[in-house]
Amino acid sequence: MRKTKWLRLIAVTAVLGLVTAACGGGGGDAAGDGEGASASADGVLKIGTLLPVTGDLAFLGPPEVAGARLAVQDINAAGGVLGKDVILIEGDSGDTNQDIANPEVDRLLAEGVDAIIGAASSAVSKLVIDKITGANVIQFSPANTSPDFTTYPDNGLYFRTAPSDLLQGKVLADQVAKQGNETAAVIFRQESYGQGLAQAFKENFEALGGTVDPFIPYAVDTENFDAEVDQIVEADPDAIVVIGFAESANILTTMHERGIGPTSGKNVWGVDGNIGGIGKELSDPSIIAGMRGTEPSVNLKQISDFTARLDQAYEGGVGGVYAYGAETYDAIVIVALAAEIAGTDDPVKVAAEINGVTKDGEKCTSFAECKALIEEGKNIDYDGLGGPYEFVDAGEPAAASFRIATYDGGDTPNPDLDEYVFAGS
Amino acid sequence: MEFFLQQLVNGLTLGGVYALIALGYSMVYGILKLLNFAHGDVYMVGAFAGYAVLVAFGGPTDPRIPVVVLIFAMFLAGMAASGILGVVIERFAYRPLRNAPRIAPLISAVGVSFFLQNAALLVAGARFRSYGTAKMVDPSTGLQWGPLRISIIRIVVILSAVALMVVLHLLVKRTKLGKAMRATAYDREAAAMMGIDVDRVIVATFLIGSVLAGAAGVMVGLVFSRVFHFMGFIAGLKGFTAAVIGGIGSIPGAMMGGLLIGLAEAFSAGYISSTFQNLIVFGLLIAFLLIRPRGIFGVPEPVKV
Repeated sequence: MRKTKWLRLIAVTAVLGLVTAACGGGGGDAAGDGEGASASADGVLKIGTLLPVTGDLAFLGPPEVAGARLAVQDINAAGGVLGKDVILIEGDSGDTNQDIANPEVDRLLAEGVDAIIGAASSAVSKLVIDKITGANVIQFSPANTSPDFTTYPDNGLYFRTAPSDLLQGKVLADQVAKQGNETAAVIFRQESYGQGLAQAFKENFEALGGTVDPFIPYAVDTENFDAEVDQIVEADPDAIVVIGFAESANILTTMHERGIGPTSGKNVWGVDGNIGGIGKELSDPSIIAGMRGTEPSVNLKQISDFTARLDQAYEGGVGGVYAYGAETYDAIVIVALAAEIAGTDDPVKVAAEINGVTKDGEKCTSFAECKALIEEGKNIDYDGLGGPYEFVDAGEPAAASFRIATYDGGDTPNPDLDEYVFAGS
Repeated sequence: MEFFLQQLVNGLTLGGVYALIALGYSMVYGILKLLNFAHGDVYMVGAFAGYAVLVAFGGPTDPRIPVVVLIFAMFLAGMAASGILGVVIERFAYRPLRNAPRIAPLISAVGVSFFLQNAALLVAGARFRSYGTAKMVDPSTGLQWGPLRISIIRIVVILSAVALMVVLHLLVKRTKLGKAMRATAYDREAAAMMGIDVDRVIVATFLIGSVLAGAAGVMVGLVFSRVFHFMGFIAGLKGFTAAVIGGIGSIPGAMMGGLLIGLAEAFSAGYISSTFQNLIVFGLLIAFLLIRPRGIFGVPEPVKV
């Protein structure tokens, strides 16, 4: 009998240990090691990145990583910040299934960064926001769209160039309704991003007279989507909205197999978490020909010089996926300009200037141009590659341009079919 | 009703895969009393080996050999790669610790698991790979019964899982090796004294268990088409759960346990929400450990003096 108990004990502790090791994260020890190292006003602006190199958002990571590199390159070419070169330290955000973000943030804080650019995933940002802002360091996300961050208690240190999904939800609902759909199924990741966007879509779509059924959350580590897709097959809606990251490829494949894919007469919609790069995740992108989706983006044709540079700044190129590249670039430029105005790299003082950089002043569109104006003692309004921004007090744009992308058989959306709408709250 | 039947099919597919993984866990435990936590990653390597063969023969859109042959080759590659890996792991990570305290090989197993995950990340990168089965085999072929649809690839997966289990059963019950395995599981020392080469039996056990895991890896790639470095972790935990529920050490138990876990998962995803499927699966594990720790088919361990 002793042996059975022994086995039981080993089994339970081993399983619990592995599960917690994998799902860990959660709270961080904000105080501890932070203080001395991180809030260093040493005169050198150090920027850390926390962008997806691995995990379920890695397929949208390259343009963001490239955007960060280009920004630092351009800033340093224009003389740097406070007379010194900006230092870029790259980090990987991983995803919520593996706790990579927490140790990466620890590493960046230990290296004394003044601002961390990231994460891309709202759920990952939530894992580390208390740790970063608690250490008096700026967190600036180029791609978080969860509505939760608008009111999150962040000591005034969290910013984002991406608009809240309250806007994307509205744009998406408008587009789905405009297409003539009366009923829509929504299948979404059950975390802060998926839930926020799904809810925003549902409210707006119902306000337009549509019906949402079924409304299916799925766990982020779901491996197969048979049951979810079966529910959609049963309900037989006009449109299907897929809110997810890389696992959307799985959902779309299963939908195709069950005869409710974009090529079988259903109006299938994607969102910023999948639409830009999901075609490349499918071994056969022709199964999503006809799929459309929304993502916050300025007209990519207007910034074609920049998107060409993004391709060069990433080993192997970003391959036609440009999501949030401009937003990442702008986030770093905004921090750099705020540091110039504050006259220090002390994160708390820099943060106090960030909202002002994006509004109310003489317009300028590049770091060099804005820096010249600051040196003349003028108040500036940086209009970036990714939009005019005009941050509200919560440190985020209240209005943004959205791209409506369409697949027509290729592995990226066909740029000739792009439409753009502007939405504000 | 159709929805119910569809979930049943989903559960059977998933259950077949879990059963194959559980078998490896259970067999190794039966013989070595070792929880081989690297087993899930052996399954992951099998899935990648299948993918490598697929790419080598031109990928799913334009294969250079007939699809049936290709799928067969993928199974062979997955099983071979996993089998060899299992034997290598036994040789280098477990054999030196055979007489160490029982916690030592357990830690070694977790270490091997992390090593394999990160090695796969290094070699294959972080992106998800897809077998692209829909392109190889038209998903609309198969059994169609009213709105209930069972694609041909699912039928292949369920049947090959059953076939592998039958072969394993015959091997254990009818061959000399099987008899040696049963003897070693019953009492290793006595078996050694009777002239059974225990080392050979252990190697054979790892080989067979890992081959089954490799087949499971290829099956998952074919049906659910997502292959990545971390896929073995949760699948391994589910296989382990299945082995414990069925009665760890028992071969029919592992099959039953796998089926039960697969069905529980499919039905909880279908009727409640996939958000709760892991809760239900691991809830089952805890319930079994509390109420019937020896599992469905397990026999209480004899007290040895």
